[in-house]
Amino acid sequence: MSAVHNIPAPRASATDDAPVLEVRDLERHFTTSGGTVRAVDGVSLTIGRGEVLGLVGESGSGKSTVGRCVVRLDEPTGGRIALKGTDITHLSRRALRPLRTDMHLVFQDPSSSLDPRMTIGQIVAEPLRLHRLVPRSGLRGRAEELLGQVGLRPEHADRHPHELSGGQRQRISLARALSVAPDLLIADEPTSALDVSVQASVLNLLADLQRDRGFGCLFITHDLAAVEFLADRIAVMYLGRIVEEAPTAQLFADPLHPYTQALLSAAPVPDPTLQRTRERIVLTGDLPSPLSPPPGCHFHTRCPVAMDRCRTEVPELRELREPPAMSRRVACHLANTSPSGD
Amino acid sequence: MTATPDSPATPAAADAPVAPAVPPAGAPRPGTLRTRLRALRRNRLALTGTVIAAVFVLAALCAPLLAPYDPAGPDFDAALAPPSWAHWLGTDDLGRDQLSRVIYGARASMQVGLLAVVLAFLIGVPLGLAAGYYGKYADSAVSRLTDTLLAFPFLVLAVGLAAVLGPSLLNATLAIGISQVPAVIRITRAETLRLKHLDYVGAAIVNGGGDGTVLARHILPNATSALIVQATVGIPAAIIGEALLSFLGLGVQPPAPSLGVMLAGAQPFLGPAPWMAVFPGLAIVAATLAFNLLGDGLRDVLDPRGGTR
Amino acid sequence: MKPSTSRQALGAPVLSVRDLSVSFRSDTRTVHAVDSLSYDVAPGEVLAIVGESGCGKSVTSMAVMGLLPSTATVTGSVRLGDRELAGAAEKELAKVRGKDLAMIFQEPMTSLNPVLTVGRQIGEVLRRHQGLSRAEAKERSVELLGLVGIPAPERRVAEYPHQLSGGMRQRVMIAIAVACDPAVLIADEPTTALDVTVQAGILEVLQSLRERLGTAIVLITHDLGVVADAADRVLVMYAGRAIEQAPVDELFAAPRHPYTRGLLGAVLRPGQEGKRRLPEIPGLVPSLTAQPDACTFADRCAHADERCGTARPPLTPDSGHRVACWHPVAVTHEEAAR
Repeated sequence: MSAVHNIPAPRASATDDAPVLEVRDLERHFTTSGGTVRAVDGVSLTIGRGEVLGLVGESGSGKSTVGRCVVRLDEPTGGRIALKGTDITHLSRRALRPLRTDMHLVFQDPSSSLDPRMTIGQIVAEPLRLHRLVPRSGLRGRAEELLGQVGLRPEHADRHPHELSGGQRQRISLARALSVAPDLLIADEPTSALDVSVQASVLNLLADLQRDRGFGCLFITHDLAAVEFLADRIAVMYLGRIVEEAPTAQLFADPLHPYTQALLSAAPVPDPTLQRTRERIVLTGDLPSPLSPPPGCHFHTRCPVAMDRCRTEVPELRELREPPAMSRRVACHLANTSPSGD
Repeated sequence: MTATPDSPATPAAADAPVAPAVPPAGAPRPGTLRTRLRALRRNRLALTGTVIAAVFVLAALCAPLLAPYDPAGPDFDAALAPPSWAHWLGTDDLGRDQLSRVIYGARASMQVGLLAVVLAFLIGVPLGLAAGYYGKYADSAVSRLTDTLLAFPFLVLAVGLAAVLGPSLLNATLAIGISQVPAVIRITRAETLRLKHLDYVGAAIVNGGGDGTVLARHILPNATSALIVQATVGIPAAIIGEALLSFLGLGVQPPAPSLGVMLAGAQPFLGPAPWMAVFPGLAIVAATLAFNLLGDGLRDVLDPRGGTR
Repeated sequence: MKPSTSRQALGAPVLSVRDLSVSFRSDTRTVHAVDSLSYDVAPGEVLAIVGESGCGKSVTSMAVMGLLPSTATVTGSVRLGDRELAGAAEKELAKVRGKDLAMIFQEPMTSLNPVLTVGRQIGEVLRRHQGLSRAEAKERSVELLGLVGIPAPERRVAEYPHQLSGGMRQRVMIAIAVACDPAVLIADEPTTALDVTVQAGILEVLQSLRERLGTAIVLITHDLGVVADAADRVLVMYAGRAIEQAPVDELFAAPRHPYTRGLLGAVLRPGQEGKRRLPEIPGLVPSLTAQPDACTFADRCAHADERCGTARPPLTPDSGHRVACWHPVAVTHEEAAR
């Protein structure tokens, strides 16, 4: 991988102490003929400068919708989103435009996120051109430089997206996202569409860039191993709500929510000897329809340890304080109020 | 068959992600003009259509050079002559050379066809983009307009225009153009709706692009193939429309030639001089078919991924 | 989780593939999707075919099923028991497909007919191959749905595919596939479109089928976690060729082909990740338009020498752990100890 050099540090701003991203009680409800779909139902999360937060969940959990709301490709129906202390929840598209240099997005599908009619050079330089950060004559040079930083060659600038492999396209997505040196990168399943060996190189690149440039990152994925590799903290979503949030190592070592436990146990480990000894929690039933989520705890219909209280009372996302200053949150009636003694 | 990553249904796609970083020299890269032309050539029907369409365009452009006689000049000595060396396609009741008249008629047809489609696009594309991209009020306003246009049958519209403005080729073009606007709106709107949810349009917004950038740089260029195909459907429809209007006396005014006028004039002579109807009729059929075939071929070729799928 | 006895060789192979090659011809080029592939599956055995996209693993199974389009040229032999399937007439194949040889696909929604009830679709197979009456077929359908772990099968049997979740639909596909008690079930990425918690259930169902019915399973997947969980033996494919074949424990503990080693190194292990740097495999998968007399991995391999570029390495004849490499990685002491 090429050395990552001469990249401008994230710009300083007046609100340097504010977290890069602060989301409070975010809601995204869709009205359909069948009723209201609560895709995101009261999600709060915070990402500090240079921090990587993994947002994990299965399909239908609303994790991607959270990401799309943050970059305002989707309109939140409730709650508040603050980017570096600035409330952007209801900013008009025009008013938001100058702030777009502070955040960028990498999509899941590298074949649909690049305009097939543009050359790679044009794609990578587009944010710079639109924000007039680089004079027109300098765009090409800057694009080649960016391509070099993501491990591609300058001559790739003249190609079209369909001439490159999936991994290369995802590198282009990254180069485009980082061209404006954002303080926040939303990565929505950036490796899910890629082959194992390609995944590894894209994850390495993302980790290198994140370390060198220090941007905050919301890493959305269903891949537990990938999130463990990259994230400092992990939030787990189920049916539009966060059920657990903890520092990465703690979440894997000691998951508190039954859903997190099931999720961790269900992912097979690529080691047959170890895999044979693992206890797998197989969840019964299906993911309930988000049109009529179950009352109380959304997870109680599939929870192996649910009790009566879970069927009626919504568990609050409570803060647990473990060994001093290690904060983790869990939304379960059963998770001990006295931080894990087991 | 399911779309597994290496589904055998698309062997060409199966190795798409493994394309070597630098294609070997000499191998045409997909999507280049050369491979597209090659793909077009592969498709015989499309090629036939292209050739015939080109002949018509050429005839229209060079009518004064190609036509052996004055298309409006009567020669009563040669009236109703069957096809011969002097008059390849025969003559009509006034002794005018049919070949010259077909050539000039094709000119009128092409003129109407192209102008009407250009008009329909000038009106329809912006409305379709706005309706598809902004949705809500813009969409309902535009669909009201479309409904209104559709409520007037094409002929009623043409007759109305002719009544107000007088029958002429220009007014026939106007009527045909307006009658095609709803189709253009519908196609543009559908393409916009499809494209605006694609990730690269989302990326353009995140890049900091305003509505103008998104529409002009990302949506419209990617909708062009659908629109060009629509145009190749619109042109033959306009040619038929012109023939119909001229036949009814609402378009080109005699003695100026037009395929429709010729058909109308041939009516009383179907028995004694069938060539008067046959050749302009054939010309209409050929032009219509040619553009339709061309459209089908273009549909395959205009995919930026090189038409391999 | 699974009895280790099931991992032993179980006698004569039920499905035997020899020198299977598949190429697709278009007027500009020929793509060699599969190149002289051979494998055996014993009754009750799970053979995983692993590889990245474009390696030919799915094409292989389509060729075995005789489901490839007419643009494909298939050579070699596919024997199911004592019947030769390669080159058999479509009528013959139709008798075998769904009865002795069944297949499930990645996307269960597109494989089910949306306008027929689940029961009808299972019943159709039973009535065609086993000549059951309508009532018998329905009864058996309920039984099969129960077998694949669908709760309340009496009720589900009357439902339509869109009323079921992705995981349930895949279970229905499995029920249809095993309706006639096939000798071999080919599962092509059966869990790729599903969430992990749902995947866990499907893997359990496959496991129990092989134990209860003795079905041999050819599991095609790119997910090494799924392989570790479900397979007895593994065949690794790269660029259309088999490059390594071994019992699952041996393959994971001591991979001998540099590609397998690279692949296993690159895969993430949940619960075991430190902040390490992931090993990468440099370069890109070669294009399949050529069929070089060389190792197809040579360009990307750190051990490659001149010989790798000029001679195609054969699969070693040893029946246990086979590898197609001129310089297979030596097994370390540590690995041998496992």
